[in-house]
Formats: sequence, C-alpha cells, structure tokens
Amino acid sequence: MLDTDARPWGDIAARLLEGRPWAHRTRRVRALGWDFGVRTNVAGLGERLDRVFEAMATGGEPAHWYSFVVSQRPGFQRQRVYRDGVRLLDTPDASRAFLYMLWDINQHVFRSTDDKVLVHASVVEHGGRGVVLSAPSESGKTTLALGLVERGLGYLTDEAAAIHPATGLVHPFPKALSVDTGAQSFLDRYRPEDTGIEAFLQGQWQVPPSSIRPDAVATAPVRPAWVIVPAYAGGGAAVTRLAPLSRGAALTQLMEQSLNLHVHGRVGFDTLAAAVRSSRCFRLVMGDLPSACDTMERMLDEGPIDG
Amino acid sequence: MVELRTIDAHFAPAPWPWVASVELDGEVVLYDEDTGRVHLLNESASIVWQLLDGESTIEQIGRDVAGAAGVEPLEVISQVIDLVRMLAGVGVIRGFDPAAIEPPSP
Repeated sequence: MLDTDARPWGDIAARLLEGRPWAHRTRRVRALGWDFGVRTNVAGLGERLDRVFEAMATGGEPAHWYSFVVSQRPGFQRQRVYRDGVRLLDTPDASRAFLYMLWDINQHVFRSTDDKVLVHASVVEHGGRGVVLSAPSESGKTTLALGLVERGLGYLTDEAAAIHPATGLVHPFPKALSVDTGAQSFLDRYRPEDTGIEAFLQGQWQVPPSSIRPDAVATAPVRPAWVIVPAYAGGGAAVTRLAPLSRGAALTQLMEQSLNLHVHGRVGFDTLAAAVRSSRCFRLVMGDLPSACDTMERMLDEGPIDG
Repeated sequence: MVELRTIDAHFAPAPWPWVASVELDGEVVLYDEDTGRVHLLNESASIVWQLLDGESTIEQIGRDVAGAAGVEPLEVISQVIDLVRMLAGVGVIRGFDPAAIEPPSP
C-alpha cells in the first residue's frame, strides 16, 4: 500500500512522466510572464506547437512542463494533458484535449502577467506605434491583423494587448494567429500542410507570424496610437466603412474586453484611459479583407495624433 | 429597501467613493471598482456628473446648468432627477445599492 502522505500521487505521476520516451519536446517558451514547454509522444503535434510558439522561443529549461500523452490502439484512443505532472484532462476527444491545453496555457499567461493590464485584442505596429484591434471574438480581429501584417505592419499579438501601467507601452505576445473556420475561405494560402495531426486542431489554423513574413514580429514594446473596433459585416455586398469612435466609447470597449481589470482596479482604468487619450479611435465595418486593409492603410498614413 | 422615487429636487447626490471616472472629449466613463461595471455618459449627463458633490441639490444643479445653457430650469431639473435616478439604479450614487432598490411599481 502506498503512503500517499509521504509520496503524493502528483510526485509519482510526475516521475512516471519524466521517464517516458517523448517523441518531441518543444523549445522553452517565455510568453509574457509564463515560462513553459510542451512534451508529447506525437512528433507531428510537438513540431506544430514549436511553430505556434516560435516567436517566443528561447534557450534553457522551461520552468513548467505540459505533457500531452496520446494512447492509441485499434478501437481505443485517449489523450491525457498534464501540467507539471498534475493531470488536467483525460479524454477520448483529441481536439478537446489539444484546445484545452492551449486554453490552459493562455490562462497561465494571463495569471502570471499581473504587472500588465491585459485586453483581449490583436495589436500590430505601424511606424513604431501600436494599432490596437479590440472587439469580441469572431469580429474579424485576426483576419484584419493578418492582412495588415501581410502589408508590412509588425505583429505583436493576436491574443492580448499587455499594457504596462507605468510606461503605457504594449508588450509583444506573438503566438501564432488562430484562424477560425469562418475566415479560412479567404485565407486559403495559410492552410496548414496535412501532417496527420489535424484531428487535434478541430479545424482551427494556427498561423505562425513567420509564415506571413519572415520579419513579421515586432519585438519591441510600442505606445498605442490607434484603437480600432472592427466588425465583420459578412462580405458579399457589404461595404467597408471607417467611422470615428469617441474616446469614451473606445475606453468602454477596452474595459469590456479587459482580461484582468479586477487585478488592477483603478490603476487599470487609468492605464486604459491613457491609452485611448493618446490614440485616434475608429469603428471599422469590414466588407472584405482587401478593402478593409486599404481603408486602414489610408487612415494610418494620416499619422498618429501626436506624430 | 430604498426607492428611487425618494430622489427628488432636494436630494444632494454624490458618487460612491469606489466609482472612478474619467472625462474624454466631453464624455465621462465611470468604472465601478466594486462590481467591475463600466458606464459611458453622454455629454449632457457628463456635465451633470461633474457637478455631483454631495452638497449641491438636484435643484441647484439643474438651475446652474439651465442658466449656463439659457434654457428653462424646471425642464432641466426634471431631466437631472431622471438622470440621478438612472445612476442610482446602476449603483454609482452614494446611499443606493442596486440590490436594495425597490423595483418600480407596475
């Protein structure tokens, strides 16, 4: 009988995981405040994860390990996800396991980045200044960011604008862009090669910024100069329109999309207010991607308010 | 329970101390740190918000705004009462907790 007080199950599970023959260990990833790596017994999956996090890869040993274990026999498949030896999920659903792990990584990135105000947004860089694209999910943020990066803007994030309260600068969190099924028909050039792991991805494409442009990632923090609230109008006959947005409405938008305002309270409120005060703010209704990017380029060419 | 109709022209409203506000180009954004809720006030509501000091009554505020705008005070006072009741209903006015507000009679 094992004495569970003396040898906690978590320790035993961690030791068993250590002894496994992993097919792939990703490089160490430093995503804002979260330092991790992923090891898996599915080589293709590990290689894909290296690409997802390539812009944040660094040397050395990760502080935390995710383990993604697939057990597969005829008529049987289970996926088990662990973080530091603690089992998070055990499921026959391959895509659920993989998306859960990505979700858990995001949650830990957010929780370990309490020194910055986080807003659900895409951010691209133009002339050394930040363009914050903030809107609820499936509004076209990722598609617009991808289109603008194709046209030469720098890529900071597709997930969260991380704004430092003391400096007001947005810090990069450049994980791969997540292209959902709704946007894939007009981004077919980013369709991933079928390497037998698509069952894990549930149709979602993870587009590494380097596959858009080799020098796409903006590595330095930027001061926000534009806040854009995009909304996809559904293509077809829809016409792209850019309309001024009051700074009050822009601030309300950023607050509603904030991921950790409860941590920062009034300091977070002041940080976001300062961000919109230094920005030109617009609502962008997107007909199609080329016209949305044309409209954005014309607006950006007018420069920032303090430029 | 508190009733919003107790707010009349003699009431001197003030924000709760945990309600932060910022003015941007004439609009005021309120942030209730207690609940995390955000409210955007239009320009006329923003003018009134910035006059809420817990000493000035709604009647005084209404008369000041009417005088500055050159309009009839009674109409403005009535609008300020409606605004303060709305603000109290969302929990940003001292003395009014939305959980303890009596719902209006049908």
